This record gives sequence, C-alpha cells and structure tokens, in this order.
Amino acid sequence: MFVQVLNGLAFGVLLLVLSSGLALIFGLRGVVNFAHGAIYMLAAYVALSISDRTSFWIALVTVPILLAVAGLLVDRYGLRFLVGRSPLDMVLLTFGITFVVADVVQTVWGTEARTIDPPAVLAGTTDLGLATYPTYRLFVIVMGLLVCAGLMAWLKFSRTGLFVRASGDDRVTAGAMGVNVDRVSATVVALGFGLAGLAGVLAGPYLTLSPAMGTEILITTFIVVVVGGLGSIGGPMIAALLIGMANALATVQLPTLAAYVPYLLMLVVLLLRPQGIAGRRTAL
Amino acid sequence: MISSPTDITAGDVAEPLAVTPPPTHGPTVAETLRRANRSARWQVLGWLVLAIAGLGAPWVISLYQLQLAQQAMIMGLLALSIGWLLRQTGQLSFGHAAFYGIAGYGTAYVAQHADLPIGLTLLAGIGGGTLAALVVALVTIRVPGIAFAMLTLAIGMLAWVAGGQLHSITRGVDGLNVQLDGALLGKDVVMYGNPVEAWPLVWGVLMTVMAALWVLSRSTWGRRLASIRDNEERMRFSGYATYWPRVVAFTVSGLVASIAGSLNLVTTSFISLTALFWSTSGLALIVAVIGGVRSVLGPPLGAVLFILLQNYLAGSGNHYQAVLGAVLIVVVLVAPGGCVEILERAFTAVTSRLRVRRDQPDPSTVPHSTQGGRRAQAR
Repeated sequence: MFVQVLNGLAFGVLLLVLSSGLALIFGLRGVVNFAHGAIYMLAAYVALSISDRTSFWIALVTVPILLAVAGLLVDRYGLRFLVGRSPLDMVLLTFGITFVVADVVQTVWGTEARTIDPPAVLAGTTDLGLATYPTYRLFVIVMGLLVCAGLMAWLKFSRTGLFVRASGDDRVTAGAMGVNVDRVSATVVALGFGLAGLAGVLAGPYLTLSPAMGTEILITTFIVVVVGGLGSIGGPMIAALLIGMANALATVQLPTLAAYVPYLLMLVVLLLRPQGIAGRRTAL
Repeated sequence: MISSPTDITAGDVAEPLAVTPPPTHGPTVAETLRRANRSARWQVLGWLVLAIAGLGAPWVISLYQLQLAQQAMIMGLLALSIGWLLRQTGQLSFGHAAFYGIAGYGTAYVAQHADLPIGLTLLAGIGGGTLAALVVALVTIRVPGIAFAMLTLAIGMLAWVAGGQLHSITRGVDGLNVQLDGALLGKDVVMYGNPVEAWPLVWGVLMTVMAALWVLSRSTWGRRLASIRDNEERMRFSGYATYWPRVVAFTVSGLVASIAGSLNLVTTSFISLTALFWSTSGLALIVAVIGGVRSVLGPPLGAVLFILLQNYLAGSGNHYQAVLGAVLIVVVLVAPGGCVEILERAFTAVTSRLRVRRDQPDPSTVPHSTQGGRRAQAR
C-alpha cells in the first residue's frame, strides 16, 4: 500500500510538472497547447541521445533550455500572429506542431520502445523503513515538487511573476500599466515548453520511450488541467496529485475500471463545474 | 449673414436644398441579396456539374486511384461533419470518431447477430451513432468553448476505452471482418467491396450530404444557428431558443459521421479500434481545416488533398505527417479559410484582372499610368 501511494505520488508529480506548463500557457496565452505531449516526447528522446553520449545530468540541464528556446520561436513566429483570432486557431496551430514533431521523432529515433538508464547514483533502491523503493522515483518526486514550489514562489513573489499574473488576468490593462505583454507571453510560452521538456527528461528513465508516449500523456494532462481549472495554477497541482493517486490505486484495486477513471472524472467535473475545481469562469 | 427673408434669392437656396444621397458604407441590402442569389445560383450549377462529372470517375482514373478516391470521399464525409459543426456552431469536436466508430461497430454487430435486410442493418448502425450523438449533445452542449472541445475529447476516449474492454464485440486492435449480405440498391452488398461498383454509392452519398448541409446552412434555421454562434446571449435575450438548435445541429453532424462510419464498413468490410481513437477525429479535423470549413466543398477537398499527399509521400520514407502538420500550420497562419479561400482569392484576382481589361476602350490609346491606376482600383 505504501509503495502504491509512492507510485501514485511519482506519477502525480510527473503530471504536475507537465500540467503546470500547460496551465501556464493556457492561463496567459489562452492557448490550449496540443503540442505539449509532443514536446514532452521530443524532450525524452533528445535526453536519450544526450545521456547516451555524455551523462544524464547534462541532459537534465540542457534539454529544458533547448525546448524553452523552441517555445520562444513558436511564440515569436506562430502564436503571436493569432492574438485576437478565434482561440481554436491556436489549438489547430499547436496541433500541426504535434504532427511535425511526431514525424521527426519517428524518423530520427525509430518506432521501437527505448529506455534511458538512470545515472549510477540513482540506479538502485532506497530503504525507507516501511519499504524499499527505487531511488530514481524518489528523485522524480523530490525534483518535481521542488520545481513546482519554485514556480509557485516565482509567480507569487517575484516582479516578473506579478507581471505574468497581471497579463493573464487582463492583457489590455496590464499593457496600459507598462507591462510588456508580448515579452511576458514569450517568457511564459518558453517556460511552459521548458517544463514539458523537464517532464520529458524526468520520465525518460522512469517510463518507456515510444512514439505514442506523447498522445497518451497529453490526454491525461488535459484531464488534469481541466479538472483543476483552466486558467489557474494551483488547481491543476491538486488535480495532478489526485489523478496520479487515483491512477495508481485504481490500477491495483479495480483493474477493469481503471482505464475509465480519469475520463469519467473529467466528464463529471466538466458537467458540474465547467471551470474546474479552482478555475475562473472568465477563463473560458 | 442673412438679415431678412427678402435677401434670399432662388439661387442661394437651390444649392443646400439639393437632395444628396446618404453616404453609403458598403453595398445596400438589395445589392447584398442580389449578390447572394447570384452566388447561390452559381453554387447550385457548380454542384450539379461536379455531381454529374464525378460519376464518370471510374472511366477516367485507374482502379487504384479510384480506391484512393473512395477512401478520400469517406474521410471527406467525416471531415464534413466536423467542419460543418465548427462553421455553423463554432464548436470544435474531438469526439466525432466515437459516432463514426459506433455506427461502424453497430452495423457490424447487427449484421452478425440479427437477420435483418441490409438496408435496415445500415439504418440500425447509423441510428445507433446518431442516437449516441444526440445523448452526447443533450449533456454537453451547454459547456462553453474550449471546455467543449476537451469534453468531446474525453467522451471520444471513453468510447475508445469501452471499445477496448468490449473485446468480444469489437475484437480490439485486431479488428473485425464482417461479411454483410443482402441486396443494397439492386446490387449484392458484397459487390461494394469493388471500388468501381461502390463509387456511385459513395459519390452519391457525399454529394447528397453536401447539398443537404448547404441547404441547411442557408435556411432560416442555419442562420439562426450562426447567430447563436456569434452571440448566444443576444439571441437568448431576443427570445430565441439557443439550446435545442445546437443540440439538433450536433445530432445532424453526428448523423453525417455515422453515415461515414457505416459506408466505410460497407466498402471495406473491416473495422478496428483505430476508428474510435481520437486521432481519427483529429485527422478529420485537420483535413477539414486544410480544405476550408467555411464551405461544404472544403472538407472533402481537404480529404482528397490529404489522400493524394499521403499516397505521394508513401514512397519517400512516409513523411506525410510532417508535411501535413506543416501545411496545417501554414494554412492556419496564412489562410484561415483553407484551400477554398486560396482558390477564391485566385479566382477573384483573375476575374478582376479580366474585368479591367474588358473596361478598357482601346489598350493602344490608353497611357501606361492609367492602366496601372485602373488595375489598382479594381483590386
């Protein structure tokens, strides 16, 4: 049972990192980023190549930065032109990116399943008193929680964080008050892509790499963000842990129903409260 | 300054009293209606020509190409259902694969377990898909914007998960081979496995659906739908029902997706779990957008382009995904109306050029500068 809770926590934290990026991009840009899963997958594969040649630690640092730069480019040459048009256009644009990335991954790394070896320090198991648990998963939990705490602190206490929240609430007023909304948006998209990249690297040694990993987790991430509330950051954090736990527990306790659980959860939440647990109605 | 009435002469008042036409901002109502009628007449004519010309396809293109064309038409139907919904109600559905799949599996199930004439079997399948669409619409239609897209995605995925669990009915990813029997439209239904035999049916269905959706969009009801899309609150305050029209629109669109699903089963005798997966909806959506969702011609056109592209790129390492994604990105950024918009722009450019040439009295006597000026004006 203890191990199941830890498993749920590990998956939940992974979802947390991934969905906070998605929630951030939605909150400010109003973009439902369909490319999020593809970016996560791309990050995992790039990390595979880098850690094969050098070390996992280098991949852990460089890959999120690379993808943040990719995010900047996407914002600069794509999303910026769509401000003021239907939000569906942005969905379609990111959907197009998904297809391109999926093709690139299949061409460069092939279609067979791969795994990244965790670094030697994290390879074994750790005795936690109640049970022994794979060290790498503990690392994922700690790392993910640290990153999310950092993100929350940044949004809450820093000056740029204030700008981000202000631009998310009211773009026009924030702009009139002297915030460079375009630059803030670019920062946010870059940060969101970077977080997806980080989640991809973290997932590498934990889950299996395959060309389907992006779409699979994308849907789960959407569920997290929708259940948590579009346009909020804290809501998805709660929802990610919830769904991670529900996923881990249902797989063991009710295997036949486990696959339905996240979708049913999303269905119920959307029907009863379309704005999600912590979302604001205006975000829609 | 006018001091007394006698100072006013007839000449003074004539100028200000002269009736000047009110400033016009764009065409008048009458002119707009006249243009709409003219455009409708051209569209009906174009549809007739296309419908009749399309029937001749088996004599013009090879069997393999005909097979591809048939595939494109079925995909075009699914794309049309999603595209029409998007255009008419502004709602983006990622769940139409569910109705497509339910109709396909429903048809297969009835064919295997009930001894009904083939016509009724197909109706049962299509009815099943449409009913599913109605139920989904009743529950979800109030949900706004992007949440609606997510919700349909969740429902589509639920259908997919359920399809995987009901292995005894769906046979999962292995797929289901179904032998339909009986006579459909005077032919043994097995014959429809041959694209030459199936083509008139597939083409006829697509053309009928296109015409029906076109008429629906232009009807009072269709315009009311568009008004609800543009400003729901205002329509509600004006005393119009806004819930039921959208439910009906979603159901109609589900009906079209179901027809595509059943037609797919008739022509291929095969269905697998992929039919229910959300990427089927996603692909149909992309195809619809690339073709253009502003008209009923767009989605089928997009499907044809997609199948051609996929087939053309199949030989060279199969990069159709990347090309498709890139095309989608470019279309969204440059021409939100899709290929149809690009064609329209080209058409307008050509006709306005022609009109300029016709207006010119004699090209040799007109100096160059005026020619350029006229052309610029016409544009």
